[in-house]
Amino acid sequence: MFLTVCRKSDSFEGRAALGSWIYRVTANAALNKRRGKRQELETSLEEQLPRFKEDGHREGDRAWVLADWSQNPERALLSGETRAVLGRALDALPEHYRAVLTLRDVDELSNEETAEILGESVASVKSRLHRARMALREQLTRHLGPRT
Amino acid sequence: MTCREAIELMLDYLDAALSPPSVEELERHFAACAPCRAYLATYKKTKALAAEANRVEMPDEMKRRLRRFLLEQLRNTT
Repeated sequence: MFLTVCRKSDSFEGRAALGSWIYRVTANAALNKRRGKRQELETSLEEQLPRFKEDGHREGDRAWVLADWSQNPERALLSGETRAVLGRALDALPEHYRAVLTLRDVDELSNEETAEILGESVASVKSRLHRARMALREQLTRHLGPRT
Repeated sequence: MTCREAIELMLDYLDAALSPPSVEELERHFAACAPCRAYLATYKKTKALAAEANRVEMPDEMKRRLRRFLLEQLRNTT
């Protein structure tokens, strides 16, 4: 990745902030590398989003919709098993969702910075981020929530 | 407000990007809706866990080389 940034250094024209340019080159290289390879791992995001009844309330049994594992001991939340669930859930996200989530939640960039790096609109970044977080939350709830 | 609408607003709510009347309406919904309170708590925790689990420290050698590269770029662009 570092070599890619060095090789592309000629394309830096000083119009964007250097930090954003490095992120853009890195993100594009990472997306290109993963493209195609990860297709088979990606599951449908729709299956991992909350479902609603016609009246707009959440669908699912009461124990499921009330599941709140956020107060579980940190040791359990940061255990190897939970990390593995999180890692698999992240890997299963479509590429551009994973990129948005990584730039926003891991690297703590703003919506605007993320949009600039990925060449997307802020609205698209926000939509992808929300759906990515909901998909990860769903997987964590399946792991940490009530057993059905 | 329905649960669907409340969940749609969660990202903007956590980014403090909602108008005061929207925040008030959303918080009224949370006060009355246990499933949405649970959803909000686990949504926030998911964000924190994803950040925690994926944060990696850059190796020292990489830091040195990156710093050298950035300095060269800065010299070339000023």
